[in-house]
Amino acid sequence: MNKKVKILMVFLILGLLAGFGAYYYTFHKPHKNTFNLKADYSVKAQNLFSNFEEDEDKANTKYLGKIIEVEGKVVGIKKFSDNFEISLMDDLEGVTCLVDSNYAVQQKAILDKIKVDDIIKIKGQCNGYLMGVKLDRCVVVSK
Amino acid sequence: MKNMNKYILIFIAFLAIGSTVSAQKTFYTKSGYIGFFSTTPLENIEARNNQVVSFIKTDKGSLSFGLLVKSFKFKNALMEEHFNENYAESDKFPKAKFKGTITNLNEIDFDKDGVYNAEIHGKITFHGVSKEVNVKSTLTVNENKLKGKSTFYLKPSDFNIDIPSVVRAKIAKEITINVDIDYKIYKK
Repeated sequence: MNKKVKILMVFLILGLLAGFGAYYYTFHKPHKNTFNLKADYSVKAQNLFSNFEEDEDKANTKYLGKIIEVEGKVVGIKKFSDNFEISLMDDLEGVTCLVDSNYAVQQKAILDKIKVDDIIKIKGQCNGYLMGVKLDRCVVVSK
Repeated sequence: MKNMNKYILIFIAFLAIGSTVSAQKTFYTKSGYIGFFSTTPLENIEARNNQVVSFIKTDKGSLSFGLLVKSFKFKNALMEEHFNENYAESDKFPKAKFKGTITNLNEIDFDKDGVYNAEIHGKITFHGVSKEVNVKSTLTVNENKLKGKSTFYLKPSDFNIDIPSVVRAKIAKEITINVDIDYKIYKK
């Protein structure tokens, strides 16, 4: 009888711990790390932009929230409050990639080297189309 | 919708050309900041969007804002997921916008450096619902740069956003919206 109670207690405690762990993980799970994410699509900046320009709804269905690896020519680099914003193809009608501060810190060396007219490959989440295609949580794949 | 951006640009480009003749100017940004805050005793929620597009045309004092809902970033990954999937439904309504005018335009001189209080009336569209608002803001003119700042409050219920009773205590009835934009003069 005593043994049974003890075993029961152990299971109860383990159950509680597992429950609390699951709860904690669900509410405090970290953001996905773009470095580790496989790109859903790999495209040229020009093609990505045309897809949106031709049929925005269709492009939204295909790309919205997806991880996209995009290759294009740098036309602008802007730094603001630790974020890097890299514009590909065209400043207003192109692809704008935001390298958020935490990634910018990790990739500082490579970001400092990027210049206008470089061809780069960059990976990030597609947020949609508004004065060009917008990506964020970006990391530079190759320069 | 498809060539919308191009037409807007051509239109603005024409206005910009016109501005060299008259004193009219167009200011714009494509990396403005809008954030929102919800504060309750149980939980604070904050989201930041650094990809806001905005234009101000000084002749009629018209201004427009556009943003992608998915560009709102939360510290907590689960909150971001819930915001996009359950509340803002960003797959269905990817954009939010504001169109309005400065109602006290005669009190603002865009050619003269200074800090001005602007009163703005316009319409916000979010989650497929449009609502008229009056917003106070501060405009700082400094050479050919313009800084716009504003704080105002919105109710999720006005935008047809239903908050389930389980989390109701964690989400404020009124959400604080912060706008902070550095405009450049538009020339192409």
